[in-house]
Amino acid sequence: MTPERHARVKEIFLAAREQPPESRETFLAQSCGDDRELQREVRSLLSRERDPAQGDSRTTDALTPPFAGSVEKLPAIADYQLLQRLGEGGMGEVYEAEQQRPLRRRVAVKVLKSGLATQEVLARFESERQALALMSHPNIARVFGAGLTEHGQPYFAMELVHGAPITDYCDRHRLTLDERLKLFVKVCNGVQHAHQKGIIHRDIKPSNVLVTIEDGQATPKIIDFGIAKATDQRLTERTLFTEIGQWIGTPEYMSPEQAEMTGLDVDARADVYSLGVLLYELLAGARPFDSKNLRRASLDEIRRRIREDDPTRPSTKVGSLGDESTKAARNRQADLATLVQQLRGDLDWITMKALEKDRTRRYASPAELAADLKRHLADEPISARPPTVAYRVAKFVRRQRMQVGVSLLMIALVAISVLTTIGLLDQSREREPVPTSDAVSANRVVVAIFDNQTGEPALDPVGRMASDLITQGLQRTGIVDVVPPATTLHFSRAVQERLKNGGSSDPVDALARETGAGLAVAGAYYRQGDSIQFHAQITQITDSRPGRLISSVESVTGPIEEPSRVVEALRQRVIGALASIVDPRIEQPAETMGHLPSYDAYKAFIEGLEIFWRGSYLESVSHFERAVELDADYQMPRILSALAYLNAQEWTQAEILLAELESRRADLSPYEGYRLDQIQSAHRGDIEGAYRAASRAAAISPEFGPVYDSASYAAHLNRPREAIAGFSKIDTTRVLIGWTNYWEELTAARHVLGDHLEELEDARRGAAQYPDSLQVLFCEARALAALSEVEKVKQLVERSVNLPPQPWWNQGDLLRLVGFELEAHGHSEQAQETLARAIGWYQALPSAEKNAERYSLADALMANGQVDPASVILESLVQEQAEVVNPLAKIFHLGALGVARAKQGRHEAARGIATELEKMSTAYAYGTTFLWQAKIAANLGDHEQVVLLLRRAFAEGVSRAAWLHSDPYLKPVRDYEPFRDLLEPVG
Amino acid sequence: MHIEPEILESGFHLAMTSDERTRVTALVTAIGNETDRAVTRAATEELMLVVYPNLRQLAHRYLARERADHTLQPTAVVHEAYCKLVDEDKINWNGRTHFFAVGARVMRRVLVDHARARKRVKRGGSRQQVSLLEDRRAEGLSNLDMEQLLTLNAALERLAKLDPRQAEILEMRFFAGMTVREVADALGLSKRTVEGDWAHARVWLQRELERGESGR
Repeated sequence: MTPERHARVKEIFLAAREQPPESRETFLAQSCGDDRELQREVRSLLSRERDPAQGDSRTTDALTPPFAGSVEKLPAIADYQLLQRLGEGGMGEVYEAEQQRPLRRRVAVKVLKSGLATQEVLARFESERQALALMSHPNIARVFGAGLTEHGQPYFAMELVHGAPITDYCDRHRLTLDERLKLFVKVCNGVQHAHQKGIIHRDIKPSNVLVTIEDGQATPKIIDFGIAKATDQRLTERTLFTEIGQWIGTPEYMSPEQAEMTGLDVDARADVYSLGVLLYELLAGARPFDSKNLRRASLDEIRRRIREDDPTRPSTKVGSLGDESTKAARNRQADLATLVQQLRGDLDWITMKALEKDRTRRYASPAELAADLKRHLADEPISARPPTVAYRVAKFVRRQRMQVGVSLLMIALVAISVLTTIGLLDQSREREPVPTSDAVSANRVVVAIFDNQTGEPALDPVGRMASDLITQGLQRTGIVDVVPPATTLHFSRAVQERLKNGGSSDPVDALARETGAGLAVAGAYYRQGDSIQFHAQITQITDSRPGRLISSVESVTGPIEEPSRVVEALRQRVIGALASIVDPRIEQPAETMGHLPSYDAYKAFIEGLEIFWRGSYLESVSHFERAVELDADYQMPRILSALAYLNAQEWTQAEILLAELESRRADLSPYEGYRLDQIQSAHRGDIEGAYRAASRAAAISPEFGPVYDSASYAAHLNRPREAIAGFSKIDTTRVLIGWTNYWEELTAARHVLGDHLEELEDARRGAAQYPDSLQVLFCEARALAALSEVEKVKQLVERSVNLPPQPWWNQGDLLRLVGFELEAHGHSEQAQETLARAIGWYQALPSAEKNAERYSLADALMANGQVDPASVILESLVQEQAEVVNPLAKIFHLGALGVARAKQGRHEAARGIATELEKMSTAYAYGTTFLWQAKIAANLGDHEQVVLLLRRAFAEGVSRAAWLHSDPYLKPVRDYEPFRDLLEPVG
Repeated sequence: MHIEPEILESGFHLAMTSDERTRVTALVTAIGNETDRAVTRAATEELMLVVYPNLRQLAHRYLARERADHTLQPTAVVHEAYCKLVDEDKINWNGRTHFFAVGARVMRRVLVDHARARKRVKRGGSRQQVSLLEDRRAEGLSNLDMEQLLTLNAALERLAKLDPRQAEILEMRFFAGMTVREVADALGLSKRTVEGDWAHARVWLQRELERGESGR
């Protein structure tokens, strides 16, 4: 026999055993052909397989070499006749057996591997035997008894259950979420019953919850009650030693208190936790802690994770599984978007409550968990979250299946408000600040991050908290000019970096000069036993003189567990000291500014912010919510959660939070109130209202956030002069860090006014600050296109090849939009060349990205005159969209297809699509249905209609900024006088 | 598996220095985390060198106490060695799996060496005396005698020429009691592949052993 021959035999053998026995002969004849020898060979092997029909058991055959005559010997147990091996587990093997006495019945017998302390196992089992005998529940497999085999190994006899693990069962039968929940509620009922009899399972996991069919109904049966306790399963070295191969399946379901080595005090809530993990897996298709990662972890690390790591919510998890995500959705008979939607809210909260690390915060019993799930199934408010009025309203809204939508415009607008609400813009913190020679201003204050002198890195955030809170207090007064926290943070890091590299200047002096502040608050905190002590000084800086200490604030001491109380006292002292130097009026409003968060809440909040800035909006929400949980009066994280949901296009969730904030309006400062108004107006598509609110906030506190927002809203309202006036108030080198949008909005306003030389100048200032930003590069190209500097545009395009993508901007976007601008300014030939390049760029993308960019590709094709291929892409997008709950994407895809039909001369089809858009709900569409009807009308030649429809679109929230003049779909009306009037700036 | 305490206390502990334990733990950790094949291979080879004398010593302690009612369970020996040689809190699943894979190989060598030596010494002796492993109550190789062990070894060697991977799988299953999942992890294969190889190799081996016995 040769290796090739051996491999061939193996191949056919493996294929043949997959065949049902009756068709094997035919299969063999087919695959072996004339090769009789081969056929005989395979047949002889097949005949040696023990009971090949026995599905899974073949993988768990005895680990005994198959010597002739040494047929596997089943363990001998008095009163039981063992019939066959059912499986091999970590602890031992399971057999089907017939009990002979006292009554004849089929049972399952689990024989433990040797190595477990036999007497202890039996003694522990005995202690529960009475209670076990009392259990009688349809969802619990009974345990009949325990004893020793004739060779002294412990065994357990229990009800024989033919069934699959619940997770396998649900996936195999593609049960929907509701069906899964109903099944899971039964599991809870079973566990609850056992708890009432005083039995805790301690090892609930899918392989211990089997689903079998009883009376035509899927019935979960929990097996192994009482065994975990008897065998004392804990995550210890011994467990690892005895549970070879199996233990890894267990710790993932183990509660944090069980994962502790002590394991002394485990109660019913440990089972609630394990049920939570099981629920999580049934819902999300993965466990809270990734098995793969867990396997790479050492035992200590596993314990640590179980005790400390907060799992992601099921709704987030299910979307982050790659290919498995779609599979999970399919197995639940949903598409991914729907599944995420279904999980978000109630089911997230319920699962997370069951998985609380601190068992006092979990459901107290399986019954409570089941009750909440039943409430969810009945669309009633659940208990996992304190039901507020707003929540009840939201629940009602969901029951009405109110349609919610998405707006790209909104995303942009909201993203701005978010960043500016906080006033923290440090996206590019690794970038060196642009050196500035501007003079310091006597009335400008910077509050440095306080130095941690406690020797405990864990207390680092205290220093930032002190700086932030003092800054916020000063900002709210609106009387002094305060350096925003993000600017402070950014420059502090830069200064530290420089000092580390051999700089010699005083860091406070350097920070003040970088930020243009004439006054600097700086200090440090120390630890003294259980107390924390703050020292602070105020330094005056002038252009001609190095920093001079002008005031030392009396030190403040307080308990270390409550740093926020100490910081509060510190804040009052610092503001008091500043009042005597700058303006006595600042003292009073600062005091009424209201609530200071607790330290833990603040910490959770800034963790959330970091994540938020990375664009992981949904992930940030759990941190913000934790901040609110820790400190119910802390409003900022609530606002941020709402914004995060808006940015993630989770309208319902956002509205719940906005409604909740509205109901707490009395707790908000006037400034926060205006900011809330602004967000709500923007969310309604009322740009005018948002503009008014932002302007009012800016009047109270002329800091970067509201000033920028109001300028931006002015631009969207086609008031470029007002916009430019607002943008010009912003110090681009000291405040504006990492926010490239600024340059795009500013140059767009100039573009609309036709001031192209100034536009170019601004674009180049932006490029000097952000030399590798595609967005800023585009600004320059747009100005040059308007100035007919076509060669220079070309050079810029060449340069763009080497630039990295940034949020919402990749090279395809740049090429496409530059193409539009060239076309709009009459350079058709170069425009088409650039568009062709854009098309090539999209087509060369790897398939996953290409798929995501299909709309952009169609957009470029259409502008390039390749309407037919564009329409093919759009058709398939529209078809796919039929299932997806993203109305805005649907509007865009459908609208573009309408334009394509009009361009193809299929006017009836185009009108049909326009009608379809007209009939679509306008809720959450922010005027985009009208916008696309207008674009279709433009290509059908209904020019009057275009203007009417655009006016409606603007009224409902569509921006009328610079994009209008270059939009290729509106090209047919570019010379139509009323359309040109519409573009005319109004302010 | 019952191990009398004095066995643990006496030879084995003395034979193993704490340096060795640190070294083994480090090697196992390296194998578990390293993705570079060359590095993994080198670490595995070094691990073999360190583990072999320890395993042999441990196995001989069992074998030295040969009595009809005492059994040698190679699986248990490997596990025992693992507990002694590796600081479990510090290593991950992958490392653990690889330790057992190495353990299986070493154990096979230890047993075969022992069987050959016994055969030479006790040639002509009664079969009763060489049947060290008569007790059939436990799993693994315990129901083999030395004769059978050598037969099995020869069959595995033949299989290694036809399909080295299958031979490796059988080795890990028989000599270290590894589960299909562990074998899959150790060899970087899917569970399904290992199941297929195992199913085929098992019946192949069965036929091979039948031939061997009938031909004797």
